Amino acid sequence: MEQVAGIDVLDMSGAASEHDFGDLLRPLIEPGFRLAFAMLHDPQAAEDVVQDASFTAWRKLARLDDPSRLRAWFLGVVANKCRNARRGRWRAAVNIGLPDELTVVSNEERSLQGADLRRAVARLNHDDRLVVVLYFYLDMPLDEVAAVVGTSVAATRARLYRSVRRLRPDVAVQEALK
Amino acid sequence: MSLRTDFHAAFDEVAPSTFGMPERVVRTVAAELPDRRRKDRWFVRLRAPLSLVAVLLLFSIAVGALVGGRVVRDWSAFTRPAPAGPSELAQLETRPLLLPALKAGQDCPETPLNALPGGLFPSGLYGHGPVYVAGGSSVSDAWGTYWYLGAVTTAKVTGLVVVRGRDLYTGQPVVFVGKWASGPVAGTDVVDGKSAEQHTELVLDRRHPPLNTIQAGTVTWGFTAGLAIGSSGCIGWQIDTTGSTTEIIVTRSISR
Repeated sequence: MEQVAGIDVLDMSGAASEHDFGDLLRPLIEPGFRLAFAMLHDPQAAEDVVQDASFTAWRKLARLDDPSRLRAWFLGVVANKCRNARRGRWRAAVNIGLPDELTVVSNEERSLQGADLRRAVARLNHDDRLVVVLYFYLDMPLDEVAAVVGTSVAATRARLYRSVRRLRPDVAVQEALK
Repeated sequence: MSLRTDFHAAFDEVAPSTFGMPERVVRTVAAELPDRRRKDRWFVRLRAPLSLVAVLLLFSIAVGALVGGRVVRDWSAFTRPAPAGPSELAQLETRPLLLPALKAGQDCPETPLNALPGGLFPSGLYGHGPVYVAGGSSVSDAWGTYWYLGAVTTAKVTGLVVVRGRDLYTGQPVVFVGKWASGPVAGTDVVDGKSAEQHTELVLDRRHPPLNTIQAGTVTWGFTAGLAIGSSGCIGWQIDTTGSTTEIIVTRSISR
């Protein structure tokens, strides 16, 4: 019987393996949702994506050869589902977040800054957005971000720098990465 | 404030609570797993046969395209009218002219006009089928008189039609000029301002009809026929098709 993170998962046809899979999956749901929400800017679409990613993960879990990569692997599945969600029928319905021109008058500077940042993130392409969300919002180290994205650490770093320059052109990259 | 802090502030302020979500997702996955597993098993079982079916379908399409193309080509070749063979024309040309030779004092036995079924040519046509002749205007010159006539073939005619004629009193041959004129050349003349050979036969090929004259299987063929000065005006026509021979006798005034 194969083990992933110390839990037997090889026999996916039994009730016990479903229970074990639940134990594996539970801690991954919240980061998966945060990733999907930051990518899609729509809480309902984000939960649907996480649900769908969970089914996919159940199907393909036995193929995961390195149990230590479970979180990165699952977030990679979520990221792919987000890409498909934006490509597919959801695209028209997904609330990308905000209109181009904000007309809301608010006294809270912080709120406006948050809205500006969300809008700037929404304008990034999928891969750039994925890297910045994983790094800045999910607080993942660069090597794990690279594992999710499926590229080398160097390539991920270059993409992260490029994306930061787009998000904050007036701030030095190293300053922004703090 | 760092970009990381900004990110958390920007998204956390709009992100809904995830309280209970992990349990909800896990429960949903567990509840739907049997159903999905069943579907997956079916899919796995069907994958190979479906692949085979797909391959066979592609193969069938390829073979169908090849065979279909060949069949269409063969069918086109089958239905396309074959060019008139020389044997068919020769057979019709060698048929003897059965037109009577009249002597002076005998009446010209003119063929009565017939009405064509279907209301076509209400003024009547000469003949009793499957080829009819319609009268038309005439023009005379130093050589003789030309008539602009029409032949009408019904659907029964599928091959060649050979029309020949002569003056029943004098024996002078009727000559034909224009598109359908064929056979031996009797002379030349200027007709409608153009030099034209005068032929002694009119050959109509039903397999190559004038496209603009087809009406319910009936085809009209306009042609020009002439008789030289000295003709009596009693003209006999013999119209031969593979399955029929028709004689038509008409009287026309001739320039003398």
